[in-house]
Amino acid sequence: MSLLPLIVLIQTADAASVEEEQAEMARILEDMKQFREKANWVVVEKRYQQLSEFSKASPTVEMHLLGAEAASNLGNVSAVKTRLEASLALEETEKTKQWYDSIDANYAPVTIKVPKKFDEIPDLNIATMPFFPDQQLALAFAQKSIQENRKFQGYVPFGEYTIAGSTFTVANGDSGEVVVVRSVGSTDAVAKKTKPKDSKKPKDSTSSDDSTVAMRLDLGVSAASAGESSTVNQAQPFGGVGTRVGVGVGYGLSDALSLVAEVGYHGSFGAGEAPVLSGVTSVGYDATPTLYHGAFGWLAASMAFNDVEVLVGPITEFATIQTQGISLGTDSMEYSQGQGDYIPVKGSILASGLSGGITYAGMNVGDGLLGGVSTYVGAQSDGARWYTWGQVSLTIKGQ
Amino acid sequence: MMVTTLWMMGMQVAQAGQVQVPADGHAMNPVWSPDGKKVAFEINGQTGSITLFVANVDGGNSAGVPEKIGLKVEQTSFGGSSGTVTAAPTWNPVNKALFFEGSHKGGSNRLYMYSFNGQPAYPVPENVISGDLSWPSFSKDGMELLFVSDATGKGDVYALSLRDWKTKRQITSSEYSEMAPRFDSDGNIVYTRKQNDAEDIFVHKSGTNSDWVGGAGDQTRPQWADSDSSVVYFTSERGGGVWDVAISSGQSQSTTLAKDIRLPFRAAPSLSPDGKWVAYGLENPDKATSIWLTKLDGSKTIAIKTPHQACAEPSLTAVDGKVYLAYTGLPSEGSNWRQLHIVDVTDKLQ
Repeated sequence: MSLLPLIVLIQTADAASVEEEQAEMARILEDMKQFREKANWVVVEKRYQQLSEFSKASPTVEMHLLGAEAASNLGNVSAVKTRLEASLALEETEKTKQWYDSIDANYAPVTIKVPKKFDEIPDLNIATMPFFPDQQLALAFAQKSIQENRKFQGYVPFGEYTIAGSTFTVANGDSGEVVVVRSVGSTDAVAKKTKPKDSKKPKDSTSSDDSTVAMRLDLGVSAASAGESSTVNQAQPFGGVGTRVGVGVGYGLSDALSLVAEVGYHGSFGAGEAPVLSGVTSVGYDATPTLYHGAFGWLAASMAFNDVEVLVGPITEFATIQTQGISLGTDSMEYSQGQGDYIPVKGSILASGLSGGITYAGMNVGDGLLGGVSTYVGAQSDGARWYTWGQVSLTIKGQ
Repeated sequence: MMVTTLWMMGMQVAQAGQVQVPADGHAMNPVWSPDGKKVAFEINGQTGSITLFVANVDGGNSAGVPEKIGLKVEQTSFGGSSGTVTAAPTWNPVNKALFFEGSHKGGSNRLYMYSFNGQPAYPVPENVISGDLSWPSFSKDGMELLFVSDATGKGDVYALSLRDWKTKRQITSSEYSEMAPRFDSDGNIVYTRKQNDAEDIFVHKSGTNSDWVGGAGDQTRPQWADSDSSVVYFTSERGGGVWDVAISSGQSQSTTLAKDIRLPFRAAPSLSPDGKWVAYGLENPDKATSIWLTKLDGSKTIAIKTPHQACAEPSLTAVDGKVYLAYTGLPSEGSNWRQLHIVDVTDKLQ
């Protein structure tokens, strides 16, 4: 059988499929027009979103403009901008360009976050209500988003805003401020971070992407213990106290769930034991302190319950160790009895395991950061023994 | 009967600039923007469609092609209903947005706002006030929209707060048709009511609606004047289908300022920016080549002689110390369509 008829058949089927999609999209467009006449913008919006489900045919200028009009009447300025961009990409008309330019002339992008420590979500208010209804709708859209999601990312009209008793200004030229709402009475009532990632294009606020990135710092004291090795001629169990410092980021997946990635330093120190056995002192052994210097990497899942956060995840640590005492085998005839307890040992380990902890961070420490305390525990193994540790630390993290 | 003095300005014909009319039809109902830099007007093709246009005006001259104000996002690509009407323009005094009446063939007459930023006209929401909406005007601070809705009765007066586009007040609630409401500076409202086949003027003051001027024929399209102490309006009290311009300085009191005027299609009497003059056209063909202005105290009348026929629908504005008059007229006897013209009348209103 020749391939030619098959190719023609496939091409014909494909063309028919495009035409079918175009016909269906045309039907949806008529629907959009009808509901537009009734000013039923919710339905026009739904119909517009249906257009994105087609894979072979693309929306027309007319469809994008109707979608933009629906988004405008629902207050979603980010979506208006996106749809006007799509329309302009297909056909640049003076009116559409004028509409597109008027957005930056009247609105600025902003991200507003309300931390979970607010039991009651505060209202976002504007000092002077804008005259134009599309701007009033944009404000209402932001207010609704904050009430429903504790967060708004999108465009609001220029003006002076108040939330939770504190104010911030959205003005021409702003490029995506992050406003974190603080409790009433805080000295730094509202913190702003300018120019977040992709600040020029806040996402279409109809999407439900709530991801955020925030820094994290843990600075604390720790106690560590290395258990009995399963093999001979290894360092005897040792331990010590020291410091443990970690820095990293939290990547918010939703309001409650996030991923935390941290790297840091783990130091542990313990005093050595001077030999008292005759025959050991005579060979010059002295007390050898335990010196543990480790570098760790930790990846944890985090679940937040208001100001309390529970974390758990895998950890890997590389460390260089100096300690005292070696576990001698029965065939270690060259050492006298008890001598092994005083032999200095040096080496390195690579141990992996699990670490978890609880953080309470309810204090505002400025610049969009929360401060608090954490307790962490961990257990790691290098295949020969378990290393366990515990930590109490000061934690500072982004909201 | 008031005695008026007639000044023909030496019979010198004013040099009027023509506004380019981008469609076939009568140019009608010119309305100046608050800053005098735009003039909105209607084109009535007499085919069931009336279309609103806005011309930019610089130094008394129309600049560029007037912008068509439609109900669609893209007039060229949007199909939709035919026979649309966009008419009755009125400018918000503070925000310079244009409000107008709009309807599709067979659909409701609604009010829309156009803000000249490329965005489609925004409708007064149906869920806020239903019915046919008409006669838009504003409070002095521009934050309250006054209009008539037939959602109740045959047409009642409502005021909608533009601070939220939701809060509304019902000013009248009668079994009759109310029309043409206008605020004064203190928030009092003058309007007309059609009852017993005659239209009379009423005033809403301190929450009370009371009749102001009635009598034979219709008293219509009242306009506050003389620092809101008087009302200027059109009256057909003499019968026979003739119209006059009158002023009322108190309840049941009126004085005729001009007789046999050419009744504008939908506009109220046009006052000069200083509030001292009322402008009008006359029915008499011999006098209809001029636009006429009479002082509200009746002491003086002048004519602005034009090269056009059947002059009417004057509208006055002040820009940078100049006073401009927009009016419509036929280029010559028997012409098909009325055209829109603008003339500098600064020197005439001294």
